[in-house]
Amino acid sequence: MTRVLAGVDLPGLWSLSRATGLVLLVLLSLTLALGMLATARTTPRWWPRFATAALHADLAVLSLALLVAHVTVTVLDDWVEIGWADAVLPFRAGYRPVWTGLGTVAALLLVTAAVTAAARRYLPVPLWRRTHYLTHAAWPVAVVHGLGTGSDRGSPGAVSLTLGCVALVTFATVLRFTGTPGTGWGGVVARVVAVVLPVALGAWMGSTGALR
Amino acid sequence: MRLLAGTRPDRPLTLAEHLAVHGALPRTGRGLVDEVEASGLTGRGGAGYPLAGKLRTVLAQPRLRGRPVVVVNAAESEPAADKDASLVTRAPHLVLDGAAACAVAVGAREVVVWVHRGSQGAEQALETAAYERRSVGAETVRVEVVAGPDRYVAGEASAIVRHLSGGPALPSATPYRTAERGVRGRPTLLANAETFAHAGLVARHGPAWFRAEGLPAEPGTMLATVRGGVLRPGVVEVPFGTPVPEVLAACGGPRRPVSALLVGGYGGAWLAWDAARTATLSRASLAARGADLGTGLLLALPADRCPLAETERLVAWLAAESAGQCGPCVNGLPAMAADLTALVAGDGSALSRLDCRASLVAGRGACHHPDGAVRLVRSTLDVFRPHVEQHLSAGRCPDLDCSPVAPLPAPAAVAGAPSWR
Amino acid sequence: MAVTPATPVTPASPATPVRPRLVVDWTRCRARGLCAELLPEAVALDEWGYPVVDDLPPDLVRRAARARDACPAVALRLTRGR
Repeated sequence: MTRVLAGVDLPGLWSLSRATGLVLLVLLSLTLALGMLATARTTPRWWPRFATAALHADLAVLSLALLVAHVTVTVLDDWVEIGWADAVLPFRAGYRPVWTGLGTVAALLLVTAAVTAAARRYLPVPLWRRTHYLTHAAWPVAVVHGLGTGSDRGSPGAVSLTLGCVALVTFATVLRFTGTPGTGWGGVVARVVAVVLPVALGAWMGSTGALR
Repeated sequence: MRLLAGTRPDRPLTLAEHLAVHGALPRTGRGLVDEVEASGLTGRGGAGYPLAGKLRTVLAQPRLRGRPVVVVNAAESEPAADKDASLVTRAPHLVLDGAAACAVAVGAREVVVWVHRGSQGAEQALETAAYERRSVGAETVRVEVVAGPDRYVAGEASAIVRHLSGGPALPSATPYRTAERGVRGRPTLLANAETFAHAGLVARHGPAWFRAEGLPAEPGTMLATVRGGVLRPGVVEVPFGTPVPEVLAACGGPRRPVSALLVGGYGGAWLAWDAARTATLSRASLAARGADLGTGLLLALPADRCPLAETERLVAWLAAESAGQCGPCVNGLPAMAADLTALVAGDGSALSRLDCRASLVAGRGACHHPDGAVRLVRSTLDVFRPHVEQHLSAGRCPDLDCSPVAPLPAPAAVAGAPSWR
Repeated sequence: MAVTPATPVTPASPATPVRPRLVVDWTRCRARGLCAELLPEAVALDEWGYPVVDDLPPDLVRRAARARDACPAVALRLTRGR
C-alpha cells in the first residue's frame, strides 16, 4: 500500500489529473508525429525541415512540462492511492497498479529520450539515437495507460480524442516511410490507414465491452 | 643501401644476421627524439610529416590520457607499391628496432604492427621476428602483430586506430590527432614501417650519418617501387634527389618509350615524360611539376597505351574502395568514374561535369581517399589534354592500346560483403 | 595509399585573426539539409544534398551555432579555425 506524502482531498484534482493526461496524450502524439515527419524521405517544398525539427523539440518540452503537472496532480490527489514513489517505480500503486504502472514506464522512457536528446552533442551518436527511438515504445504504452486508468472510458469525448491521436500518429508513421502526402500512393495509403486503424480499434474496443 | 643492406631475396634476415649487418641497437632513451629531429627524418607513408614532431606531440600529452602506444603501419594498402612488404619480409628486425627505440623514447611499453590480412608473407616475417626477439630476451617492449581487413582505406591511420580500439577499420573524422588521442584514447605514435626502419638506423649511427645521403632539405634514402613498362619492376632504395631516369635505370630502364609516370600511388598524379626526365625523386622537384612523392610509386605508362582508359579503370577502382561513410565520396567517386567512361567514348559534356565534380569532392570526406581520386583526375586532364581532345573528336581511343597497365586487385564486392573488422 | 597523419599545426600569425569555422563530420552527415536551410549564406548543397560550407563571416557565428544544434545527425562542429 502506498502512502501519499502530501495528500489533498479535493474532488477537482481527479478531474485535473484526467484533463492533464488527455492533453498530454494530444501533445505527445503531436510531438511523435512531428518526429516521424522530420525523418520522412521527402518534405513539401514550401515547408522547411528545420521548422518540423524545431516544432518537434518545442512540443517535446511542453509535453515534459505537462507530464510533470500530470504526475504531480495525480500524486497529490488523495482520492487515489498513488504516491511519489509510484512516479518512478512502476506497478506498485494502490490504484489500478498495472495501468498506472504503464504510465510510469511511459514517463521514464520519455524522460530518458528527452535527456539524451538534449545532451546529444556530448554522447556517442548510436546511444542517443537508440534511446530516442524509445519514444516509439513510450507512446503506445501511454495510450494504453490512458485507456486503462482513466475513468473516462465510457466518455465518447475522451475516446474520440484518443482515437484521433492514434489516427494522427498512424498517419505520420506511414508518411515517414513513403514521403510527402499528396505525392503518389504514399499519401493515399497514409490517409486510408489513418482512418481505418482507429475506427477498427474503436469498434473492437466497443464490441469487447472495454468501453464501459 | 641502408635499409636493404645485407638482405636476402628469399627470406627475412634472422636476428643474428641482422645484428651482423647493422650492429647492436644501442640503449636509447628520450635523447632519441633530439637525434631524430636533427636527422630530419620525415614520414615515408605519404604525408611526409617529421617523425620528431610526432614524438614530441606524444611526449607532450598529459599522463591522464594513458600510457603511449606505438603503432607500425606495415599495411601496404597501395596495390602497386611493394616497398613496405619488401622491407618487412626482408628486414623485419630493422623495423622492430626503430619501433622499440621510439617506444622507449616516449615511454610506451607496447608496439603493435598492423598488416593486411592478405599479406601472409609480411605477417609471418613479423611474427617470426617478434618471436626471435622474445626468445632471446632482446625484447624491451611487447610486440604484437595485428592483421586487419584487406581494404584500401583500412590502412589509413585513423582507420587503423579505430580498428585497434575495437571498432571497424574505417577512417574516422576525429578532431584529435593520433599522437594526441589514438588507440583507446591513448597518445599513439603511428608511422609507416619504413619510417621506423630509418629511425632504427638513426638510433645506431646518429643524425650526421643519416644526413650524409640525400638532400639538405630532404635527407636520407627512400624506398621506391617502380612498375609498369620497365625491364625489372621492383623496389629500389635511393637517396632523395636521385634523378628519375636513374631510378628507372636501376630497374632496367623502360622497355619501350614511356609517355608518362604515375607518381605517388593510385591517388597520385601523372608526370609527363618530358617533365619526368628532368625531375628528381624529391618532394620539392615533384611538387614543382604538380606531383607528390606519396608512397614512392613510379608507374611507367608505355607510350602505346591509352592513359584515359587507365585513369578510368583506376578511378573506378578507387570508387569501389570507398569506405562508404561520407556522402561526397560515395556519390562523387562513382560519378567521376562514369564521367570518365563517357569521356573515353567522346562525350564532350563529361569534361565540364568532371571538372565540376572534382572541385566538389575534394576535401569533403573523413579521409583523403577522395582527394587522391581528384588529384588523379585533374592531372590526367592536365597532362593528357591533347589525347583527351582526340577522344572527344574521334568518339573513342584513336590509336592506342587500351589494355591495363596498373595492377588492380579484384574488387572487394566480388568477394562478397566486405568486412571492416 | 597515403597514410595521413595529423596536419602540422601552424600557429596563427597575429595579423590573421583566428575565426570559428563550421566543420562537417562526414561520417555522420546524412544530407538532411537543415544546415543549408538555416544558414544559406554560408552553406550550399551539392547535387547529392551534402553541404558545401564556406568561411563564416563574424556576424554569422551565432546562427552557425544554431545550425550546429539543429543538425539531426549531430554532424556539425563549430571550431576555432587553424
